[in-house]
Amino acid sequence: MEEKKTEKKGFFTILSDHLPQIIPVCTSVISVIWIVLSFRKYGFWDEYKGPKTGFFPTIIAIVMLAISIFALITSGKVKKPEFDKESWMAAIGLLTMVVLTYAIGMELSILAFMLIWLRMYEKCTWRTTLVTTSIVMALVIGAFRFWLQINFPLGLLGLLIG
Amino acid sequence: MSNFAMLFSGFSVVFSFQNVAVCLLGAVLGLIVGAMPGIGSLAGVALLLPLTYKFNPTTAIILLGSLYYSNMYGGSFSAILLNIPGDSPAVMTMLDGYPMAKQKGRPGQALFTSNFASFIGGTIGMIILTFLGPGLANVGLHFGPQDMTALLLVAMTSIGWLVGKNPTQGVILTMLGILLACIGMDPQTGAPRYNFGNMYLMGGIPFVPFVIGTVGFSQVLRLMSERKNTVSEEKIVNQKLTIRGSMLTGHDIRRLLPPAIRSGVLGTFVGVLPGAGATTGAFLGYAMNKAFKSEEPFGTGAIEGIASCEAANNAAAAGAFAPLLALGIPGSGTGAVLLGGLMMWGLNPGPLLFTNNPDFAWGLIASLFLANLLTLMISIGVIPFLIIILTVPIKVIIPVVLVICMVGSYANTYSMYGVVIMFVSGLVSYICEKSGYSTSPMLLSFVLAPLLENNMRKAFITSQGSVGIFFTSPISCVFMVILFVIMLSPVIRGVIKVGKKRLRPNK
Repeated sequence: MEEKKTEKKGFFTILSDHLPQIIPVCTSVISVIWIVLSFRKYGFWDEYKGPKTGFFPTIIAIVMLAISIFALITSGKVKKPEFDKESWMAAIGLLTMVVLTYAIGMELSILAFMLIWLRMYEKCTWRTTLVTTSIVMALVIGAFRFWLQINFPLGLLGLLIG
Repeated sequence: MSNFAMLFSGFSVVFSFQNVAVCLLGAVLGLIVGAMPGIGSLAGVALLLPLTYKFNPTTAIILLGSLYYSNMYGGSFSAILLNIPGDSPAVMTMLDGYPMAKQKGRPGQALFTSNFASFIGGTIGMIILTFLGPGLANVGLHFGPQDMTALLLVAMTSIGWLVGKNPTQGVILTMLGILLACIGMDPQTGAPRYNFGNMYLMGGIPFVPFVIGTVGFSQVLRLMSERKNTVSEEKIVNQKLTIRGSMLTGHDIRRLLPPAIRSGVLGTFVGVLPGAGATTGAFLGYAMNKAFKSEEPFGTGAIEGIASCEAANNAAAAGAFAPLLALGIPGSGTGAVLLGGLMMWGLNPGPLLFTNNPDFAWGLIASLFLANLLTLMISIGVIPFLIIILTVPIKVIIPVVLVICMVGSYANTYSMYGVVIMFVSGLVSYICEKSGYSTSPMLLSFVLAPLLENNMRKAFITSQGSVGIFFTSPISCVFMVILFVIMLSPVIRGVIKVGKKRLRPNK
């Protein structure tokens, strides 16, 4: 007897394999939430005043629910998407910048991110790293801070320094 | 006053020091962003949106208009010199642009042809827009709420139908965009809705972070897998480029003019159609001119080939302003970002724009003429430096765009809430795009949802809840028929497919 080879799939692989089904399921759930909220909380139609707050979203949600069900039924024919693991590094990089913002402020977190990303992750030369970081910092400080007068968060460090 | 007189009054608005300077800035930035590989006009306009905060509405929109317009020029540069299209309309330019640059050794002339044809196409588009815009607005003035509702529904669904590969997916994201736009306050009663008790959501989903995430951040996620693909040395046109050495001869110009004029007229009308846009314009312009006589066959580096698609795509970009300004209906994702930008400044494009805000409407059209001329001059001026701009590695562009996404989103809301919206919308858009869902319909419907809701509610108040109102006026009746055809087309196609399979005898 031929032994069946069972390939172990990770959680994210299973998730991406079923994405053609997951997306219409998610949009169906959103539709249902919108419909329920409309009828329970916001109202649909007033006999004297006409459409109520939930009127328009309900119509759209019903259409979306119908099409999502149709998409779910026909999802077997849709090509499974392929994700590149490296793509998520950009999301992790952005999240790190957000977290660092709470600690050392937005400007310093951008500076740290640019240096670490270009020099350590992309292995760029010091020249490329410093020139690119300088241009970005000039844009952030010059255009956003001074010209548009955006006060960036200073984080815990800013609070400590006062 | 005649349209030309109004246009001249628009020029008097544009010709202030600040507006000309801003137009120039927009042209330079748009050209650089458009030329850089991987960013494209949609993400370019979205990322540069925060720069408009400092200006008054007219100046801000002039900046946006020139940014959008000059972006159209930039896409062809990498197509000609690297054989990589900077944006989707430039795919057609590549067919003749790269052979002319590499095989015929005339890269400068190929760039000059592209720039000059873009200028001609754009100018034709703007002249037609000068007449068509107010005419379309006059037609729009006769639209009742039921007509406007039907028209908006057609515009939204047709884009979903035309842009992506799967019309069902397009319609799903169109509806999702509308539902997301419903979060916040009821536009008529001011009552909070769908905010789930969250204080931030009470103000709705902010447009700028949403757009930056949907097109900017998701683009970065896509670029991550391409960042190691460096352009091979063989592909780069290594010839030294000078402005003098790039000039066209009289004979070249005589070859360029007829296809550019033909494509200019065709492209403008293609641009007016929702969902068609610059890419369809470039494709049709190329296909149409192929039927005419040309000195060299198309696809071998013919000047006529470059001129036909470049003129058509720039004319389409200008033509798209007619429904945007006159009816408040954008024809593409970039148009939706522009419309969102206009709304951010409290301006509501639509039939009344030319009557209520003539300074603004004509100022914007006049600024497009100015942007077209400035972009032509700059695009010729940058010819010697193009290879440097085009070969900036993607791995360097990625962190820069990431920082702009974060700072731009923060600057719009003055809180990390904007950054969170950008992050979530970017992730969702990336997953959707990877699964074959195009996000342009979502952007478009997000922007148009308040207008649709307003008109739909008015129509139902008038009819006291009867759906029959959409079939009483001939205008809305025609639009409703088109809408049903669009909505039912996937089902009809499916039924035809099944029928054909059943009728086919088994082999």
